[in-house]
Amino acid sequence: MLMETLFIPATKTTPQVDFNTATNVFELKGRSIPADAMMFYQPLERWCEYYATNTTQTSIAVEVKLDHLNTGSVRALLSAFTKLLKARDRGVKVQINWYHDVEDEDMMDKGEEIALILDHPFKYIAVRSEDY
Amino acid sequence: MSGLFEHEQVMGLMRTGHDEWFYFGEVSEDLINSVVSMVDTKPELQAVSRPARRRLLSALVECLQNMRNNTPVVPNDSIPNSIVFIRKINDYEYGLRCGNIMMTADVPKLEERIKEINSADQEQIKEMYMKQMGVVLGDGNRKSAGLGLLEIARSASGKIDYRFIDMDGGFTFFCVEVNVQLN
Repeated sequence: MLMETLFIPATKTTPQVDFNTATNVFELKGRSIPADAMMFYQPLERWCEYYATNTTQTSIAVEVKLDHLNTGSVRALLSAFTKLLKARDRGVKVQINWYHDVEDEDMMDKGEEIALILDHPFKYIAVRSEDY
Repeated sequence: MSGLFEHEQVMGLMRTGHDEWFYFGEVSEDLINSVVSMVDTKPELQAVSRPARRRLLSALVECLQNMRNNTPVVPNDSIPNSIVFIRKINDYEYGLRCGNIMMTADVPKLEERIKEINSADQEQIKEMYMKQMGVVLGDGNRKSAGLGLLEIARSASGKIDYRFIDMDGGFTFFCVEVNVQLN
């Protein structure tokens, strides 16, 4: 079965989700501070679970371009990424690129903490926030 | 409602004379969105760095979402169940003062948690955050129990100041105050 792209437009408190199966680039972009993060991330988590067990790709890239996450979002993102990383069991290479403002060490720390909990290395990319 | 808690007592806690923005009532999703918009558009906050603005927003959002998620229904709507004050202390520091009603039975556990956080340095708070995240993930908890306070402590420039005011009927008014550096 062909996997469909998951696209959710950004709002004031939630990021744009563009998990594109045509390019195999999965992008989260913007701010993630919803009051009910589990509700927002639930479709993404389900999509990741399905993708991880059904994809025929050999590699995927996850681009995390978030300028702010609340604690609920960290928890929900960990849950979704845990599902996505199950694709590794099927030989899929998963590259996670974590973007952060060049001046914002706290956001880089946040990425390092998530990577540590997931037990999966991230690549950290420092940029000017206006560039992403 | 009568007893140890008086409406004026809470109002007094919130009066400082230099407040920029305040709110009495229920913390809703709309209120949180309004606060986010205010931080995004307030001209003087546009002048500070983006990471500093994110720290302020982070402390604010965690405070408000904690209040939204943990305020019980109180059988007396003449008393505001939540209060939020945001004040500019100087060009480089903002103060957040938030109060909400909570169950008295939950006070000892919360106070113990705040004392534990206040006795820790930033590195220890980070370790506590990681440990608590592991607990939350491990038990399948759909909430992020305890993580909000740790995030507030990480964004704050000092310790978490707090007060508990006794009310009748098994309720307590909980007031928390933190400062956030903008440089």
